[in-house]
Amino acid sequence: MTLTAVEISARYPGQDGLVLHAVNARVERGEFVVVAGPNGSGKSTLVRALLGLHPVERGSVTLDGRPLAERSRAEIAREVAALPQREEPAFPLAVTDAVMLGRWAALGPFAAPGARDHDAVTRALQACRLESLADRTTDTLSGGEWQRVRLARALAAEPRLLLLDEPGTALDIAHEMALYELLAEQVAHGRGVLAVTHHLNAALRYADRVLLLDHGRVIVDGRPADVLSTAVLSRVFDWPIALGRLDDGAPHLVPRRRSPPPQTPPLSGSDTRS
Amino acid sequence: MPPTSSHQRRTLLILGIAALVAAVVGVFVGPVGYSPGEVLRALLDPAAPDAGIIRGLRLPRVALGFAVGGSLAVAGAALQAVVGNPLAEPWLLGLSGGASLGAVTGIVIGMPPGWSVAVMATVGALVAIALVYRVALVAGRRLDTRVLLLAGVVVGAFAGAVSAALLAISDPFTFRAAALWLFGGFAGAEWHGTIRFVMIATPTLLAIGWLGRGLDLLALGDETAAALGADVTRIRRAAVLATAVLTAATVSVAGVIGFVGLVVPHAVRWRTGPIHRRLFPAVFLAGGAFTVLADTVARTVLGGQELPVGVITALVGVPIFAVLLRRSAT
Repeated sequence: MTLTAVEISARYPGQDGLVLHAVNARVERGEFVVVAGPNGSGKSTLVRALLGLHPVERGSVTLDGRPLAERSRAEIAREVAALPQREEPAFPLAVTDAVMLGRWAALGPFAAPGARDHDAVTRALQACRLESLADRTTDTLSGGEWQRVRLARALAAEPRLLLLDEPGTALDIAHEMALYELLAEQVAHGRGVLAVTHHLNAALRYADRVLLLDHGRVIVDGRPADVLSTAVLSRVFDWPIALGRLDDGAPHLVPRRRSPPPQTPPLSGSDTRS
Repeated sequence: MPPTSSHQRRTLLILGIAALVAAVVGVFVGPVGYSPGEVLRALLDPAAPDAGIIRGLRLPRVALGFAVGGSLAVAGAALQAVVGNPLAEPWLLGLSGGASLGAVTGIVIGMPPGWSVAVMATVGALVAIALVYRVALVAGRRLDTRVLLLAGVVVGAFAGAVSAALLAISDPFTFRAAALWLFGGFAGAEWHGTIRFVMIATPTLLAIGWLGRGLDLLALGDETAAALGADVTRIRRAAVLATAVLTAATVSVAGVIGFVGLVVPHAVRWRTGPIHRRLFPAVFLAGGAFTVLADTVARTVLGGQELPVGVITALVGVPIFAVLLRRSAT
């Protein structure tokens, strides 16, 4: 199961300039791909194009070699689950109902959920550690809990690939790392994950590949340790960035100050003179 | 509260009892002060002295009121999911205004009341919703539901103005015949009209029920709905078409009745949650009961003189809606 974009170009409706310029991107089962880049670099448009939700002007997006345009929305959703960046449900839902909506594509538009669907929802709730919240409604959840519910909904579809647009937004360190651990578990179980993120340090601990976008073009695509460098990162983000290595070899980014740091005054109350 | 099947059964039982109580009240209470015994006798014996009023006027009136109220509430619930906004309803989206203009036009050009006026109302509702979408899509390339609601109000107001103009230049007899479609009410209820309405409403309600799972996704927003596998455009078109036909059918027999489609789904969703296969049956029962009770008040509160039922639904609906809105905002 491979989702592939070949030389795709796309633009926002009503705008002249292209938002994606001949972009190549790919995600397959068993790999964790991180998509990064500055604001407006085309990350979300790339994810939407990979889902068939943004029209592609040139190039093609294929799922196992067959163009997305030839597949129905339900057919795509059965294989590829997505976590859109923004979502404003019109009405609060019970958590189990919200997760059951992930079974929509498997059920079709008219069938009612059966035992298999309830099992899938239970497994998804367990995977996202949501059993204790199953009876709550979505309007009573914190940002992190709501994000986990959305992820559980994506997992309930039992997809082969997961596409996530900024899944760590609104999450604190522990919840964000727990989310990445969960995604890594999914990859270990043979699912493919492609995640757009601004929080590179967390994501790079788990990434098999990183795809760096700038002004709608792919700057690098490869193993993080191989393709990321101080020069590339500083140029793409237009900011001086230092690059370190953690114990496990994962790259670690530290943005530098451009202005000189202020002179640190002595801490009040500390007795440095005696 | 988590909606379990026993919770759902209890909700439907409570609403079923409420609907039955409303129907009994509607049949037993009226401007002509019959005793319960007289009403019962008339119901059981077609030859009883008061059978004409009870069986020929009150019964069809209660049946029509219930069917129209339930249909309006279901149409409102469906439209709220279609546009992803709990403030949507047939009147606000211009459907009722368009249907009313269609019906008035039919009457003014001399069409006999019945199927032809129902068809005219449907055409009016469809033209209105097409205009609303056209206006909303011109304003922004992507459909913004807030713009859609504003467009609905504008198109509804325009249809109302044209209806008023048509009536102003028509003869007094036509004015009387067509005034029903402007003010709304069940004073003209009879069995033929009731059966005609049920014949249109039943398949349309079933179609909306079938679309319920699609509407579950539409209420999450287009992007999420499409990502979860819904053909958003097709589901939206089918749901709008079905609600337009249903609204037009209600307008062709009872005129424009506001707030049922707004308040009832809002109140019921609070108990059933927004999943439509649980929401729709409960909303139909609650909408029917609410409208029958409102109509009973409308025809009795001023003694012999009858108030338009829309006045009662608005007087009750607006404060309830205000309370629900405040509760949902906190």
